[in-house]
This record gives sequence, C-alpha cells and structure tokens, in this order.
Amino acid sequence: MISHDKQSAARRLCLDAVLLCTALLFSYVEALIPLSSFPALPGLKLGLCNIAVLLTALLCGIADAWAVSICRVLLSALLFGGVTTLLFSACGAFFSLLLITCLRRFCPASISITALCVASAAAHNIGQLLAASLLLSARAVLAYIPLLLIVAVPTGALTGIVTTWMHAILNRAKGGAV
Amino acid sequence: MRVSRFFKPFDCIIYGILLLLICLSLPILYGKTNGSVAVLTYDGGTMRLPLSEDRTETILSQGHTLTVVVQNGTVFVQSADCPDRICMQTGPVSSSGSSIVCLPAHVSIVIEGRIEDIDDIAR
Repeated sequence: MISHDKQSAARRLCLDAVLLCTALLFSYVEALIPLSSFPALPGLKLGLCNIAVLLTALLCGIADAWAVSICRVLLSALLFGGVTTLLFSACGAFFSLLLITCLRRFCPASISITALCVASAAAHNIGQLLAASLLLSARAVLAYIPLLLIVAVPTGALTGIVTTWMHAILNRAKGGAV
Repeated sequence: MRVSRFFKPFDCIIYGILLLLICLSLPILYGKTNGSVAVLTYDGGTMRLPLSEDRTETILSQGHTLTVVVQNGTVFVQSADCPDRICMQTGPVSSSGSSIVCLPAHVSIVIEGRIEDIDDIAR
C-alpha cells in the first residue's frame, strides 16, 4: 500500500481517476460479453469492475474506493443502462464495498486478495437480489440465492487473481517514475 | 497449510462461511414449483387454478366439453369431446412455461411460475 504521507493529493486523485476510467471500461466490456444469455443464469456477470474498485481500496484507501464505486455506478448507469440497472448495481456495489470495508478493518493482513474478491462478489450478488426483491415477490428471488452464491466463487476467484497480479505490478511501479 | 499470494490460512473462514450459506440456501431452490398456477383460458373467460390444491373443472367452450383436473401439483385434461384429443394426449404438465392447448375448443392451459418473472426483468 502506498503510504499516505509520501503521496501527494494530486497523485492520489490521478490514480483514482485512472481507476475510475478502468472501472467504466470494465462496465462496458461486461456489457459486451453476453454471459447473461445462458438460459439458467440471467443477470450473470463477471464482476470485472470489482478489480478496479478493489485496487482503489488497496492502493488509495477505502474512502477512495467508496468514491470511485459511487461514481462508477452513476456513470455506467448513465452511459450503458437505465433506472433499473442503477438500482441493481447500486445495491450490489454498496453491499460488496460494505463487506470489503468490514474485512479490511477487522483483519487487514490475514486475508488474501482472492478471498476478498470472492467474498465481495458474493455480497454483490446478495445486494442485487435484495434490489430484485424490491421489484418482485420475495419468494421468486429467494430461489435464486444458491445459484448466485455458487457463481460468485469462480467469478470472484478470477477477478481476485487478476487483482493480485495488478496490485503486485502497480506496487512495483510506484518505486519507479509513475 | 501453504501460504501463497492467492491463498492465506484466514481465507478458509471466508470460504467456509460461503459454503455454509450455499448449503443453507439450497433447499429453497428445490421448493420453487409449489407456488405455480395453471392459467386456463377458454371461450368465455380465464381461470387461475393453483397447482397446490386438487380440483376438477368442467368447461364448455366452442361447443366442446373438457374436464381439466389438477392433481398432485400437475394439471391434465381428463376427458374431451373434441375431434383430435391432442390435449388429452399431452398428458400431465407441471413445470412453469409448459402448456396444454386444445385448438378446436379454443382452450389453453399455461403453467405460470414466479421464476419466470426474474427472467423478464433480466432480459
């Protein structure tokens, strides 16, 4: 983690901006991959945005991760989605970031980035289900919980591995001329 | 246990909780057809028959008489006096989205499940 005393405010802002752009790009790429057309799992997504949000949490702190996440949800809803998308992704993002905040606070070093990603993917899916339960009957939504929790494991692990790599690369780069 | 970049011992607790949640929520998945309803449409109206309660309905439509039976969570046409009897040959249906149609009598029976609602939103 980049120490805050050495890091100027401008540099942190730039890093946040770059990560926000990355998150938006991931949102767009996700919209292109038609994973949700699998018959059994409508609404399935890779959760690539989680890479950018988690990197922000690791590099710039959890407060910046909240800012990036809120901006990402609002902007991607404006660019690629509508009101329903906004509600769904806002609920998902809120719950996943809430869990990351708790995990980072109570066990900072003893948890791997991969597990952090899997946990936040699961929380994201549960948050989206809560949003769905606002629109639909609660029973219909409950039937979907096991499927989405199972799906959170491979998608979370995938984004977790990418995040681990990216974190290592960015940490190495901070000593250079970045 | 080996500690690597991708796995630390504390992760077991996270994965354990997740596995527990999955196991706890699995029974919900297999109870989903109970809330289904058979929607019976005929010449002169529609009828909603919950699959949870057994009943028999006799309807007159386009001069034909059909006996529709709901039994043990399935619905089927017991007897019909239409020429082809395709509706009787369809047999019992129970899963959401499946249907029985009798063209001569203008009768259709469609199973509606609440699971379908989610697909509509996701699309």
